[in-house]
Amino acid sequence: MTDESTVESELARVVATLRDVEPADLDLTAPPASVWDGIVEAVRGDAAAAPVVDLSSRRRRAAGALLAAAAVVVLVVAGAAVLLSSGDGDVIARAELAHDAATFDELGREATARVELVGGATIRLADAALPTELGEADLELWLIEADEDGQVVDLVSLGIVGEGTEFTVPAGYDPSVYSVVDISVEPRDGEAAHSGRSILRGPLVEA
Amino acid sequence: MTTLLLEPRPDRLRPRRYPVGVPAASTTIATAGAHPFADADGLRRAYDEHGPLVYGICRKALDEHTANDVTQEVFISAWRARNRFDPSKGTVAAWLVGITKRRIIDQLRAEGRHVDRRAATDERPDQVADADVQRTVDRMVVAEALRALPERTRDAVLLAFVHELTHHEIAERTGTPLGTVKSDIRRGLQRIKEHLETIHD
Repeated sequence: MTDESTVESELARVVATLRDVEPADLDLTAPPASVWDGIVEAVRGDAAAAPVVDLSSRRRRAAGALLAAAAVVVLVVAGAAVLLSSGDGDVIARAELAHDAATFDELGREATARVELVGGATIRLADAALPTELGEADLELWLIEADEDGQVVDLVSLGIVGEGTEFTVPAGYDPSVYSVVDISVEPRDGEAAHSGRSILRGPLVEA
Repeated sequence: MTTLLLEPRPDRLRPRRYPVGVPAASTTIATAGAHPFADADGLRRAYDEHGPLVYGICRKALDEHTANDVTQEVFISAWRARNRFDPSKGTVAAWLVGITKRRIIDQLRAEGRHVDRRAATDERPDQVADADVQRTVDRMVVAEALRALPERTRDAVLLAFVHELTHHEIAERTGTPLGTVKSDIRRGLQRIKEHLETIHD
């Protein structure tokens, strides 16, 4: 790239392109307002269909205002729990996951699961009856952070269910904050965000 | 629609005393300076900043109505695919321009106006190939780079390559010394080249 002739040939390309340019090309204008309106409409539709997460790191604040508009609210069954510290290997919190027929994917209508938080950063699927006929889809385990109104603030995937019963909570995720456990149906479509098709959900409660 | 029920338990949802060896603050790291599409505001910023270029490219390649649609699709698909954007590998502008180019080719193909010239034997005059779309993209990226140049440099480059005046004619017309005209042009080309590289690499 530092070679003189390469530099010259790159400049030659710029010159060739410049000769295509017409003075009117310099008058770039913003698209009509209707274009942005259509974008907002489509993006809102997405937020309503599924919570979104950045999966390059599998974590990012969800689409804040958009998600709030989608009114994704967390099903909470149990009472208050301040999760206390404990030694490794001890079960320090549990979550009884429940299916909400009104809003969840019907694949999970017969499903039940109990999840345990073991030590500081392991989630164990302790006892589960999960659907097996999923077609081209998998079950995925998530931890959700909810705000005080039960809106999803953020979520993180712990992995595909079926590859084992123990899942490591990624560093930086505090289970007392990411305190709602969720299992969803995830089609094998290469889209790593939550599908919006939950089958079970429940909060971690101090053991 | 994933609406679930709820019984808000702020006292349960917000205890941050649980020790996992990571400061609780790290759970709220975030948005600032991170992913440019981390939220809807990021999408709006990208649209304000790069919408005119995307739209300009679409307008050169497509009719007005279709250009509106394709511009819209570019930002919607960018938003949907934002997990695949890696800021360490390129700029938002480069990423958007890449999507724009593919969308235009898809559109032209759907209209039956696109042809792969390597295979074409009897192309019609209204058919365009990938290389034509690339040329339109380059032209508009260069136009955008020109706009960003300081005025005197921009005028010198425009007069030299768009209006095809000689350096002497430019010096005469603008009242700028010949040496300055030459160095302005060289500097202008260099800047445009650098800008083009951020889009291509």
